[in-house]
Amino acid sequence: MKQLLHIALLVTLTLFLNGSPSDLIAEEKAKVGQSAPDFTLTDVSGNTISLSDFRGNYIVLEWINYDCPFVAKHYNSKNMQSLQDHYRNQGVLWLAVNSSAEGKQGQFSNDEIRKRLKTHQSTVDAYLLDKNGEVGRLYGATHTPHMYIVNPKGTLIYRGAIDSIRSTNIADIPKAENYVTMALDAVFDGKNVPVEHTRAYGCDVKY
Amino acid sequence: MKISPKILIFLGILSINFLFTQVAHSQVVRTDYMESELIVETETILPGHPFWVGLRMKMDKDWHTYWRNPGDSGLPTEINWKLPNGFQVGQIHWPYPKTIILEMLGSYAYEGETLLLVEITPPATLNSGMFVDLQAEASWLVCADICLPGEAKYKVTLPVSSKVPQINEKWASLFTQTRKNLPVLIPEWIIEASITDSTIVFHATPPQWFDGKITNVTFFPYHETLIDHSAPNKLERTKDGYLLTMSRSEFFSGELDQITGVLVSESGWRGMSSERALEVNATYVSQHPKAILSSVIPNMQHQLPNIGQAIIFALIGGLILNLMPCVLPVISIKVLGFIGQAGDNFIRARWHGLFFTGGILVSFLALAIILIALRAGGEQLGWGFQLQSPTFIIILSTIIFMIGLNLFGVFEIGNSLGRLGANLDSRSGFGGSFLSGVLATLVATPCTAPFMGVALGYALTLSTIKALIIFCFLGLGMALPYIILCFIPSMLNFIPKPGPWMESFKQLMGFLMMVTVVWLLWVLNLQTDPNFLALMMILLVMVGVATWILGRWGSTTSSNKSRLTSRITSFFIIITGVVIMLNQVPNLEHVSNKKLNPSNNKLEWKPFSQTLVEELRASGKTVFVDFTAAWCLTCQVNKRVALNDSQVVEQFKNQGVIPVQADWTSRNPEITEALAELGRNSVPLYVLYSGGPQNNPKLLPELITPDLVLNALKNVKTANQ
Repeated sequence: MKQLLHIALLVTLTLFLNGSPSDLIAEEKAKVGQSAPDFTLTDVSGNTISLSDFRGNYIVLEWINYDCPFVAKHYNSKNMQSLQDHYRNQGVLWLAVNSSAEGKQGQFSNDEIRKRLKTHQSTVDAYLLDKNGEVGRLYGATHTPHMYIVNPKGTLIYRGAIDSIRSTNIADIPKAENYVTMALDAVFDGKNVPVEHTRAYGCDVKY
Repeated sequence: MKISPKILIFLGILSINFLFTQVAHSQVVRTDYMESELIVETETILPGHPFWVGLRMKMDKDWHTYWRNPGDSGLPTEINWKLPNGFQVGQIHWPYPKTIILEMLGSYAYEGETLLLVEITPPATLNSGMFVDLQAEASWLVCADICLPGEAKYKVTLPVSSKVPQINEKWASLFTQTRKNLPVLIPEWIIEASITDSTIVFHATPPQWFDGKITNVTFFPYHETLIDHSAPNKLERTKDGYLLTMSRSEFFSGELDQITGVLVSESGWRGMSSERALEVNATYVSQHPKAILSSVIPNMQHQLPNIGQAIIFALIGGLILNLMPCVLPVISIKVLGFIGQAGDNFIRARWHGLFFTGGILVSFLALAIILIALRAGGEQLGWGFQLQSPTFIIILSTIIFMIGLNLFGVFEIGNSLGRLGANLDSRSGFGGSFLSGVLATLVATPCTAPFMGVALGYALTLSTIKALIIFCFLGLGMALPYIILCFIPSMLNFIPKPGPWMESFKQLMGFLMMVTVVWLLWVLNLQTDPNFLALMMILLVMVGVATWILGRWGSTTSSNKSRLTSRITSFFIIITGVVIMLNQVPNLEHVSNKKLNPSNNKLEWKPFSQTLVEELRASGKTVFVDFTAAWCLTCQVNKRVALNDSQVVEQFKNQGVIPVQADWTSRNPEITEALAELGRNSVPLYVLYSGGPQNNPKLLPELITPDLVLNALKNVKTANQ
């Protein structure tokens, strides 16, 4: 009996103490076709926001890092802002998420974030702060930009790159196929998402 | 205004100077965290003859740029050329990169200095004496923990000459070194690929002339979404080559005409020190990977002997056992007894010999059967397991102590050892011989070390029949001297004729028995504590008293009554003492690694655990694991001779080798399992891990010397450079 308890304790301890770089894979739960995992984060204005608050809308999650050259490509060209404007006008909610750890590239003070939003003339419904990287790991966000689209039922319908040309060159934007555009336009047309899962490109998320 | 001639000359000189500085001079361009330069291998251009240029990129410490397939993040360097008419330029020739893993992302990149080679072919219609401008623009991504895009423009001006172009001394070695790192095409290496749901598998068959060994292989694919770049791969040997198993990328759609890329091995593909990068154009194989896998040989097998070798080892080992302090007295007394017997009746003596041998063989087989049965029942055991149990040590040391006392002449016991006179009473005589054989084996078990580890370890992994055969030969080896004497009586001539010396010899052997007792007590001390040891020594004193009683009043010269009384008394004393001792055997789970670092250990040993070793290996450290036990004499000798040697200790420190000690003195299932995984079940065993978890461990032999250890460490150092 005592031995059994001993073993049980050992097993439990082992399971709990299992923190490792494979955290990303171990905890990742965002799969296309399944329910997008719910989360709660604080935004730059101090509001507490949950994904489930927006059930009933199309939601775009954009993993962001203003200082990453790949993100800069889409912001300096105004590409990302035009996507944000265009789809928000159609009722899509756009949430930017920053998972940079404290002190790492992409993590800014709230004032700085507001300044950047203004400079870029970027309108998002919320800029969410994920400093401990929990939500990033939950979604398996590996790069910036990394795009996720959730439908009104809460199902994840797209995850992956923003477009098809992996580069920092602005000139590539018009040449590339924009997967976000493809997905949203398709569902608004009542059709299926043509490309549901792509390999994201960009800088690695600075967990 | 008239321009003064002096000014004109001055300007002329200036411009000529300027021209000269342009000739074959390019600029080193310094950009964020790196410098880059366009360099040319030759100093002049020969019309119509291709020549090599290179983009030299030197990144600051911690920064890197990317290979043609950058992996999960990053961008490959690109070069755009602006060349005069008629010039043709080829693709970049990339030296092989290294894998950089960050969180879950794996990238293929260059650190430090790298040269991307490009071949340029000038037209045949160039005039000697003219100058040619080669211009290029390169763009890249340079990263450390953050990434910065970079770009630069270059211009090199070269003279055209009809003379054979001279090599630019400044860059000669960089070009040569880089060429060594370019992938080579060796068609004799046959690479076949197969794809499953989760893996990409390569099977590589070496050419006939290949006499090296391939280790530590990485595949750098040209296709960006073929494999999981951050996952480790597995390299195994097969009957005719090597099997490399890699994780498939989740983004791979399964459609490719061929699999191309670069296979890099630390050992060269044409033998030691040859090119490390092999250009791969793998053909698909319809054979399911499982079929290939079935021909995989477990890694350790090439280090294990085949059964023939194991039998020979067992025989030799048994022979050597005769010289061990445990065994020598028993066997030699028996031999001496034989001398006396042979003189009278040779045929009978021969039978004695056979029964003695029989006793030995049966005991060895019995031990083997017990071991196999216990292992089949799931017990974590290895050879020498008996010595992990204090109970066994108590009983064994008592018996050996008694034998020693017997040899000293403190008491006599029937027919077995003490009597040197001929005993022609057939029944009890033969039985006695058989029992002496059993006793000899029992007493010999603690002394099985060199030669034993390999043979026994191997034996216990085989089928029962083969294992038993090997144990048979072990017994035969031990009984061999006696068998020889039995059957070749002329050998007797080598042994001195019977005489008083035999009594002295017998008593001397008694001392050898005492040496064995001392050793067993030392083991017992490490397994328990000094208090327990004191109790044990009191037991031995009691045994001494008991045997003295037996000797004093139980000899044939005393009356029957006193013989009976003395026998009963001494028997009672001994049994009581032993039983009390056995009841004292404490629950020994807590006794394990307290004694790891007695003052005579010069290295700072960490206690063994599988996780510790795995963690250390994963962080790329070199680990030296010493599987040892207190009761293993060879281990102690090895420690004294090699592991405490000042040069070895020094080298451990210099190379940052972590010493880990797996102390098998008491029962330890984790260590038993670790031994089994390495194909062994006895100690000593010395394992050297280096270069990360994908490297195979190196096993050192059982008898180690400082030179041996130093050599092994040196090999690790050169392999990792």
